[in-house]
Amino acid sequence: MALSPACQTFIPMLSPFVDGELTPAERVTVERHLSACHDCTGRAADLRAESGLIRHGLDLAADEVDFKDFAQKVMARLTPYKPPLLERLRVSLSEMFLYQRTAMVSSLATAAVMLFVVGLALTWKGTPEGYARPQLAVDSVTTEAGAKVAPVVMTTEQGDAIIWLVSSEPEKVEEGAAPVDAPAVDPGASAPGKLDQHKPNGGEL
Amino acid sequence: MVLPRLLGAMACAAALAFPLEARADGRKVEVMADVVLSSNKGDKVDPPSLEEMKKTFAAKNIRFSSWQALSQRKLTLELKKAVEVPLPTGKKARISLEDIKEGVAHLRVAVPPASTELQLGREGKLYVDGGQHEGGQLWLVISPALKPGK
Repeated sequence: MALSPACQTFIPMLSPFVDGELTPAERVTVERHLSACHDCTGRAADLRAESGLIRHGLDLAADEVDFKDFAQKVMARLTPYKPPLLERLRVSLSEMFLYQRTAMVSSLATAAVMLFVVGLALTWKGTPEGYARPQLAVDSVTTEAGAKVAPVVMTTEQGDAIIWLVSSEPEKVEEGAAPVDAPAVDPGASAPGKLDQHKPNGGEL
Repeated sequence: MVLPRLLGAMACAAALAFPLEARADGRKVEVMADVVLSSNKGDKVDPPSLEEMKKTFAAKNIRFSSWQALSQRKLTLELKKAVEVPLPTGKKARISLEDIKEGVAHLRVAVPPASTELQLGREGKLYVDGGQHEGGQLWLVISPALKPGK
């Protein structure tokens, strides 16, 4: 069946007409043609029926899909924007000082005091316990009961003290006893302190 | 508000911990205990630091040509607990912290048959007759265990 020239003009416009995609002027022209052309009216009705079927089919297909976690799944596939570390620190600090100014100032003050106290403790160089005296001092020297020695105490200006035990008995030289080194004592020099008063008799030394 | 509380707690802990540490050390005193053998056999002075001891004795007209350190140890003395230092003669010297009065440590150094009571000082050494050994004279030397500058 041969199409009339008017139908040939309007057939391409029927689908956009059914879908509502024509301008108002084109729509009026197409409606005027449809009112006069029985074939094109039938074609437009077919297109509407076909569109309805497709829509219905899509609706059925869409109903079968579970969209419950759709938003979460989409968001999970998105890569979140992560600013650089310095930028994040800057923002964090500015927000902390903006919204928690009092807490931050008190925290910084506490930290400064703590640093001062810890620094002071670390650099403290006091006298160790027990060393309050500048120089060593000998209080007393005793010997066990029955010991045949007498202590001789010699002190120096530097606080040194020499405790030397000398025989309190007359020297007895045993036959066969090994000789012992004796310290060389300057005959002309005199030793200060108790050495002068109770000069060691040498004993076995 | 967690940060200020945390810092406050740390400050309190530091303030409390420091005196605790000081108190824990308060009953302990450290000294050096050396055993030295002097004789007239040879003229070796080992270690060279014994030259000072040699000069100290020479100033008191006690002259030995050889000075040798036989042992050296750092003793940590606790109150009323004697620490023994063995001597090569078989004797044992006993050093004990008797008391600490006004920051001064009172020690007892017992080298049989003598016993010496002394007050420790930042300067000065105690030389105690340790008896004769191998033809020489033994000395127990008690000296301060202080770091330089204290």
